[in-house]
Amino acid sequence: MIPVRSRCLLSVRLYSTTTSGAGTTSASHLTINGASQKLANSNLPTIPSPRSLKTFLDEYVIGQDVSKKVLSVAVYNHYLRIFDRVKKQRLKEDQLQFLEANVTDKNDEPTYVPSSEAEQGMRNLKRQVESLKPGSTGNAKKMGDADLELSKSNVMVIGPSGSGKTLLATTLARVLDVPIAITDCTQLTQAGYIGEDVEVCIERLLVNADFDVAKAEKGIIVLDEIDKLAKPSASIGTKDVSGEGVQQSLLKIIEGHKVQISVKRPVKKKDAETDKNGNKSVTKKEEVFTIDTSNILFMIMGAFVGLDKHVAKRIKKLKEIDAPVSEEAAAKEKKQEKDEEETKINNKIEEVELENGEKVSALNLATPVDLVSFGIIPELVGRVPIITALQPLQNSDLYHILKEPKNALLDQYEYIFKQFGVRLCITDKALHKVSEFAQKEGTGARGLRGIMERILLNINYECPESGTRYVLINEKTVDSLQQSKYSLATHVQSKYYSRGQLFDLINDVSKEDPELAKKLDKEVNGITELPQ
Amino acid sequence: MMRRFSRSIVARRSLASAATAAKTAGATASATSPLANAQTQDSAFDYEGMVENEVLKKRQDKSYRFFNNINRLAKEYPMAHRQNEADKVTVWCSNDYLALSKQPEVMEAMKRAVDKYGAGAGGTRNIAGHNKLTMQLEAEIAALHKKEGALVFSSCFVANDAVFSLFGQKCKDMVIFSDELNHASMIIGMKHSGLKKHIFKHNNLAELEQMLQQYPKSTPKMIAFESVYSMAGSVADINKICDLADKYGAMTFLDEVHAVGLYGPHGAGVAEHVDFEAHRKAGIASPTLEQNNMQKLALDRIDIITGTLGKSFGAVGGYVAANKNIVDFLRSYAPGFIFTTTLPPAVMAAAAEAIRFQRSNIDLRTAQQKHTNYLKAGLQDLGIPVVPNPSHIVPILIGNADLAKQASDMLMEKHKIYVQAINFPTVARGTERLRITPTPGHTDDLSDIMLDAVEDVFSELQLPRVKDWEAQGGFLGIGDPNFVREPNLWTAKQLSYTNADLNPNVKHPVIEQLEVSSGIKV
Repeated sequence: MIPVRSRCLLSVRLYSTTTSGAGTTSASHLTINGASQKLANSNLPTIPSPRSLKTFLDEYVIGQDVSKKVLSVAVYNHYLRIFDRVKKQRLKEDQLQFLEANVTDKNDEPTYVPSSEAEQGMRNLKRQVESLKPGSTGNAKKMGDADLELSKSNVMVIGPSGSGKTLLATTLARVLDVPIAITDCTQLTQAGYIGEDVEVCIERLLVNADFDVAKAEKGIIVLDEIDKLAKPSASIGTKDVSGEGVQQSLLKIIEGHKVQISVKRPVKKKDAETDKNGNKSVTKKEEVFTIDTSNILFMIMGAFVGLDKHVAKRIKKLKEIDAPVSEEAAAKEKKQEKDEEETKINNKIEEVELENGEKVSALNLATPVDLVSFGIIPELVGRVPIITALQPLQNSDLYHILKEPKNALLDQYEYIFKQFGVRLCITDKALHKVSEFAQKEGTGARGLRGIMERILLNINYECPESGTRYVLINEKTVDSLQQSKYSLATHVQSKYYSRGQLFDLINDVSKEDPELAKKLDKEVNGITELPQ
Repeated sequence: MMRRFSRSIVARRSLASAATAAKTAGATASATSPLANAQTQDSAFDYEGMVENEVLKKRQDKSYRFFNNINRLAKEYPMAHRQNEADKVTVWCSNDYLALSKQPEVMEAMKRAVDKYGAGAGGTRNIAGHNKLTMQLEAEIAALHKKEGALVFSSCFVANDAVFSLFGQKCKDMVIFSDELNHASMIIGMKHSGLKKHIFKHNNLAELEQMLQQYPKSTPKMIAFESVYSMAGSVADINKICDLADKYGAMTFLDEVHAVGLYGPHGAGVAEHVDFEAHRKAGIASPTLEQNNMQKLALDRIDIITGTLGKSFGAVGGYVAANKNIVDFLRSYAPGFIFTTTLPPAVMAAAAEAIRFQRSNIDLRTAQQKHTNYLKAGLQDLGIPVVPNPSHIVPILIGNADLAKQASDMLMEKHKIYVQAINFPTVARGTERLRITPTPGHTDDLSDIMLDAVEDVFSELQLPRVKDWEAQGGFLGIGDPNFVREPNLWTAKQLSYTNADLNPNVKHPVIEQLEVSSGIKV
């Protein structure tokens, strides 16, 4: 845990002893420390625990347990660090207040007598306050905690396309009450070239923080698509202003640096000028802000296409050194590689077999060295100590994504169809089939949408303002999408039912998905029973 | 409150200006607008702001007080209930040292007086408020302190204030020598007296002598001190102070508030306790010089004794016991005595009965002392810092206002024990403490519960123990290697006395009314 200090003034290590070094006294320091920590904890603003953060992420993002944990802990620690600073500040203020309140004004009291007991008491108080002050003699060791400045641990998230990197970031932004800004790195260029300067990410954060510099300085910046900044492996002779150049200019910002930015801030006017078309013209005033980035948490994200192959190759090499592969096996592997190239399913993430026989995604084993050889400059890699990899989505993940999270695709489509009076029924088996297709496409969760769109295109075209009340999409429908091995058909076979054919629908549904049939039955009966 | 106050000022001002007809218009304006005089933009003083600001200061230095709602139960002593009657706590800090406020005899006396004479006295001593019970009470007090006379006040705060104020008025070149830990009532009294005063270090007689030496013997002087100091429990050496008083020609003023009922064979306080054996043998009578080994009695050497009816005697009110002339002097001049309603008859009847009752019950005093000793020994074993003293008060040192309050709250909420945290201005800042006062009803079983609770609070809040203060070089005698411990006032032999060891004449003595209570006829 982060050591915290009490804001209740004297509760903190008041009883400093002038003679230190004896075993007993140092032990008593420790215990007194404990009391103040206990007291301090009661004044902690409530920080969402890593567990509750993860639970929130679970609602929106399927799978990726490890990465969710990593991010939750990173954000939690970020919170702690911020509150630690706030608390230290408060403690100092309280000390001052207390000193003022106690040292002055004492003669105001009608019964005050300058007794020796009062003197002794005052000495005791002064000693208490003295021991609170940083750098007081004799308790340098104790003050270690108070002087301790917490530095941040930035996070890098690696994951194949469509595995949920950006979704994680945006979901986090929703739950946090620190400002968060997500910036795409693709648009950034080195200063002086056409394109956006790297400071734009801080500018966005400031806007999200309502131009409150103090708030912005506690925020989180997400740099997406960092892999697009990779420098080419072979120098092309010109300056790489949108790649390596951007990486270099990011260094200082990520590390912690005072950045000066000029932002055009909308000026609030009571009667904003409105032209005759009713358009409001907003006057903006350019203002210069200086922002210290040393407390801003950076999350860097990228797909790093090809990194897995690199990692796999490196590990294979290492394995070969350890245990040379037999010729037969080598030949078999080569053939496999060739097959893969032929089938062009090269957007699948490489897997590496560990010593214990378990297969893990190669991305999990990525090291800073791999990132450097990918084209990220070592200085940048060094500033991001935590690296976590998202797993490529499995068939079952895709199926869950279709169905379970908030804003699930299935819910979305059912809602759309309800708008024109059609109950869309998609059986469980059909959903499984859809996720299978998406898996083959290799564009992750985004692929799901493409397939769904294709399946529903014709239905969406034909159904509105026709007698159709129910549409069934079953396994066969999805199967019919695949015209040949390499292409998908534009026309699918789906079944339409009018109001009277409800019974047939339920029958058909129950063949593939009894649960959905039950649900339908309930729904429909509910409706028919109502008028009676 | 304040708003009403400021409004009344404005109203009064407007009345005054209304008298001068020319300014009538201005006056009505001043009554309505915050500006008293529109021409000069002069606005009224911000009374409310001043008051709020002062209270804010109290909050800032953590000496702001919250009063605990404690309803001590007459039939379940030492229990009390809080706001909710089912929520009961053990009271460990009451000044009802002998629990006489719950003594059936005392309550009975009070009820009888209420039934016969009603609730209130009806006036000042001069106007309809002087009665048989007043005279009985004053006679009882005078007999207790073996003095010629006594005078009852509304409280001992008023009594102390009255004595000093009056001497200040009538004897303008008097010099007061005051112990630095004297009670606020004496300090205020001295302030009101306007007399020159010297404050000597607590119980430091060498310094007192130095101060006395500065003045010729003919200069009127008064040495003001207490027998048992309420918040530390320290005790003054009465005879030595009287020696100095004799040597330099000073009057002596002794506040026995926290000693009456608890010291001396008959509960007349430390001044009686000093000559314990002589008083025990003499009983209600004053011992002769021979009976006291040719030593003058401390009780006789003290000129003015003040005490309270509100602590050990379980009622309310204060008194002065002195010779006839001083009592008559106060009776005739002290405004704090003259211009106030006499105590209710029932209160005086209860107080008189309490004094009679405790006089012959030395068992109450010895039980109280034994319980104190048990508790103090237990605390010492646990290493809990108790300010060392030879009396019945158990001050546990905390040394921090915030923590003292937390400790008190924790005892109350977690352990159902009520011990009030004592903070500024009752004690000096940085010397905050928990003041425990055992009574005859706080048996050793209850003490064991108390000890466990204190131990729990000290470890839970990580409060400093004796060894911590020791490491710091000692504080208020705790962990101080140079501190010399005084022996307890009650010796083992004295503690072994029972009611049977007292002179039988203390049982139901006939005490005659004092002439000075009503006025001395010439």
